[in-house]
Amino acid sequence: MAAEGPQALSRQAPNGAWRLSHTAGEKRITVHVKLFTTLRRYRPGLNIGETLSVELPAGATVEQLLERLSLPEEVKTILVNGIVRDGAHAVADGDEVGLFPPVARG
Amino acid sequence: IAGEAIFEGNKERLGKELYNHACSPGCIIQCSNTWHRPDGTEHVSCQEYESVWSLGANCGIDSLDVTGELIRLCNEYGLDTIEAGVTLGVAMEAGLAEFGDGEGAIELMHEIGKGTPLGRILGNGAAVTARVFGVVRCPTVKGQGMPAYEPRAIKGIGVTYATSTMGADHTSGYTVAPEILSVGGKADPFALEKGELSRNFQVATAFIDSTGHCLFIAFPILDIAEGFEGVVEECNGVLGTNWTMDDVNRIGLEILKMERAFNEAAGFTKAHDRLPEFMKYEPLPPHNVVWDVPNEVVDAVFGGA
Repeated sequence: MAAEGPQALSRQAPNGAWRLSHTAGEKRITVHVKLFTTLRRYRPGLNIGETLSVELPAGATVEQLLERLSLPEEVKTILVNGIVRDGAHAVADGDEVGLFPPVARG
Repeated sequence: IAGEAIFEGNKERLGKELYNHACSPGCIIQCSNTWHRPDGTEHVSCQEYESVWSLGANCGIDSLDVTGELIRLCNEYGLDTIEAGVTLGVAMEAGLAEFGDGEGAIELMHEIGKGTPLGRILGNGAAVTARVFGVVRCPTVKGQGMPAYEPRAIKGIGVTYATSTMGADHTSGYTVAPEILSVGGKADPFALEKGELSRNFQVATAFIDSTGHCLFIAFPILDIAEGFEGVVEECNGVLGTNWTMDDVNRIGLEILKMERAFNEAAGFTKAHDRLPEFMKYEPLPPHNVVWDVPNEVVDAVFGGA
């Protein structure tokens, strides 16, 4: 299992200034990300079926996770624990998140 | 056993990346492939998504060399790979082999090729095999084995399986596109009101199939309106017609009406537009959902058509 973090997630504070979110005492969660098909090439060394552990602030959404990963390709399908979700979905500690580019099957 | 594993496996065995099998000139999707043995010789073409699912994951088999051999035998014996895989799954449920037993699966497939009494039962498909061995968990509709999409967790594709004139056929109205892949809009896979969605997909598919195009063009043209309009213009150019997108719906519906009239004359009723009973009371993990789309929703798909 590869790990990303615990580098801090940048986000905008109400006063417009950028700050680092990894402040003392803030609760953190870890999600396990699977990158499918062409997305895996942006994390060389990540083998098929392996997950990438990403640390996020508690209450983070899939959208925030995607910002953190900053994959230079469209993510079309998002599965959280095997269920289709969108960017607004809040992830929980231990969730498995599967990310797909536009794909077709059948 | 996913597509990535096919690509990596070939690369390891051939010492190079392989992009070799466009089945139609000019196709940019190039979904076909070849699979190679450890010594680099070609084993089979092709390890297609549904085939690898039915003969692999569906049977608990996780070896591409085993799925490759099973697909090769389907090609040799003239069997549909989805039906063959669903049949092997039912045979495993009946105790003829353990789930995950690749060698056992290959032996059962040879029984079909040899035409033994057991092979003749298996060769008649999943529904006949289930009936002979008393297997309740038989994923078929109108006698046809279900492909790689579980209707309990994806309700729209279940409505298509139930109402398609061919039985449990994903290609006749692939609502998985909006329900899972975010293609052609978005739909909640667990929502029950899927009659209209399934009908619209079946109508559009009947039209696309009639043009002779590979059905995979549906994925781009469902999201790119000019693409679908281009197909209609193409038809007009060849046929001298003046069709618009409205005609797509009209023609698609006419085709489906004709197919349903054929089925009715052959003795099919709405009692055949039903999913297997066990799916109504056996929850599917990890979602723990059953098939709960009301019959009224299913019957309304073509109720007024």
